[in-house]
Amino acid sequence: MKKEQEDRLIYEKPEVEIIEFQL
Amino acid sequence: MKIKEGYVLRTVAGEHIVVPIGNEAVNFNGILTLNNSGKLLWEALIAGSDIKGLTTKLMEIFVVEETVAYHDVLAFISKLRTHNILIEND
Repeated sequence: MKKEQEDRLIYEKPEVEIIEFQL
Repeated sequence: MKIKEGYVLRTVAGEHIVVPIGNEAVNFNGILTLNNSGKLLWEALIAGSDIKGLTTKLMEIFVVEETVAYHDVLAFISKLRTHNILIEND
């Protein structure tokens, strides 16, 4: 269980940035 | 749920960029950028997944509690839904 913890990465919140083009 | 056909993910200079192609380029006039965990969720959604599956995916890769991952998945999905990028399963 401890090894499993070590194998995982530091968390970063999933982000999606949406860039909408203006006319 | 899954990502609609017509979106292509590419990594350019370390940035994960999603570009609409074909008809989707007409429907969605813009581009998306993702961070690493966002890319993970996006790729899972290409194949098709649900809230629970996406939450589990985050927990497998990152050190994160389930409640945090769950709420972050909801926020991520909500943003995609707002822009009509997802196909919902019946």
